[in-house]
Amino acid sequence: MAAQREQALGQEIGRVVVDDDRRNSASDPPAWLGRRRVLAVIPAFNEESTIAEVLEDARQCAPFADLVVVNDGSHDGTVARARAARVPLLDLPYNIGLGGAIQTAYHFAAAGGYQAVIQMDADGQHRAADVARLVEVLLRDQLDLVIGSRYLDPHGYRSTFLRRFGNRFFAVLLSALCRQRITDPTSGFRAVGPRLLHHFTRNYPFEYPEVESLLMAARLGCRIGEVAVQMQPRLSGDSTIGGWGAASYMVKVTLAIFIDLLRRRPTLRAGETARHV
Amino acid sequence: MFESRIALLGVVGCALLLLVIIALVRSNRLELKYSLLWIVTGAALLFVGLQPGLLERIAKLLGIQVPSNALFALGIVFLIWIIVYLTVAISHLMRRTRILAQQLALLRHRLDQADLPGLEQTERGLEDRTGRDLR
Repeated sequence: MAAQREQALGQEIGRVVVDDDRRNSASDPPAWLGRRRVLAVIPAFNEESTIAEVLEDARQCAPFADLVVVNDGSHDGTVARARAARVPLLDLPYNIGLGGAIQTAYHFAAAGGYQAVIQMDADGQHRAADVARLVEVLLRDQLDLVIGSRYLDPHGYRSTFLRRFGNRFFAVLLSALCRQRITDPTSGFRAVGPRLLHHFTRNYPFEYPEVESLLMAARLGCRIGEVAVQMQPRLSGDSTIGGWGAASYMVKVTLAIFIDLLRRRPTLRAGETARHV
Repeated sequence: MFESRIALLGVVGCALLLLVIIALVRSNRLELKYSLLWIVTGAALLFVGLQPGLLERIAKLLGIQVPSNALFALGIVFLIWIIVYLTVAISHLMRRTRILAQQLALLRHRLDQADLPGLEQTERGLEDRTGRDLR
C-alpha cells in the first residue's frame, strides 16, 4: 500500500513537472484581473509530504494570486515546509477543523483587502493551472461562489461507486435546494467573491463546510457557478471520506443540511452588497 | 424516623452530593453558576428525602400511582434539561475557542511579519498545554 502510494507520488511529480498547462506562468497578471487582488488559501493538516510541491505549483501556475497556508494544528513538518517556502502562514494553535481554518483565511483576506479567495487542497488534488479559470469566471461574471466541479466534464473524474453515488445524491439535493444545477457540491476547490467572503468572516459552517457553505450561499441569494476541473490523484494520504465512511458521511451531511435549513435565513449586511466591483 | 432503609440511603446520598459540591467549590474547580445549580438540586433532594409525605403528594398531583416513579420521572426530566443546557454551554465555548485560535493565528502572522523576538518560545509554551485535539 505504502509502496503503491510512493509509486503514484513519483509518477505525479513527473507529471507535474512536464505539465504544459502553464499558460499563466508569465509574470504579467492576466488582463481580466484588473487591479483586483486574489488570495489562494491552502488549508493544511499534516501535509508535510506534499505541501512544498503544491505551493511551488501554485506559484508557477497562478502567479497573480497571493498565497497563504492555514496550518490547522498539524503535528508534522507542515509548518516548517510552509516557512521554508516563504509563504505567509496562519498557524492555528490546535486543530479546529477545516471550516474554522478556512474562516481564518477569510478574516485574513477581508483585512487585507482581497476581492477573491480561492481555496485548494494541500494534497495536490487540485491543479493550480485551474485557479485562473475559476477566478476569471468569478470576477468576469460577478459571481459570489464558483465551484471547481469534477463532474461537469463527463469524461473526467473516476472514483469508487459509493462516492459517485454519494456525490450524485448531494448534487440532486443541493440542485433542488439552490434552485440551479450543481454537479459537485462536495468539491473543496472553490473561489469566493468579495461580498460572500465578508459574510463568511462572520458566519461560516464548521462541520461539513463544502456542502453547508454552498447551501448558505444559496440561502443568502448569492450567485453561484461551476467550472469543470480535473482532479489529480492525491499525492499522498487518503480522503477523509472513504469506504463505508462514505455512507455515514452521507447520512450526517444530509442531517446537517436539514438542520441548516432550520436556522434562520442568513442575510448579507448592507455594506456587503455593494462591494462587488 | 425513616420508613425504610432506602429512604435513609437517599438522604445520605444527598448529603454526600452536597459535600462533594462544597469540596469542588472550595478547590475552585466549579464555576459559581454550576455550583448553585447543584447545591439547589442537592438541597431539594434532601428536603424530599426527609419528608416522604411530600413525594406522595407530588405523585398524586401528577397522577402517578407509585411515589418512586414520580421521583424517577421528575429526575429524568431534570437530567435531560441539564444535558441540553450543558451542550448549549459547550457550543458556546467551542465558538469562543475557535475564534480565539483564529485570532491567535492572525496575530502570530503579524508577529512573523514584524519578526519580533520571543515568538518561538511563546509557541512552544502553547503547544505544551494545547497539544490535545479539542474537537
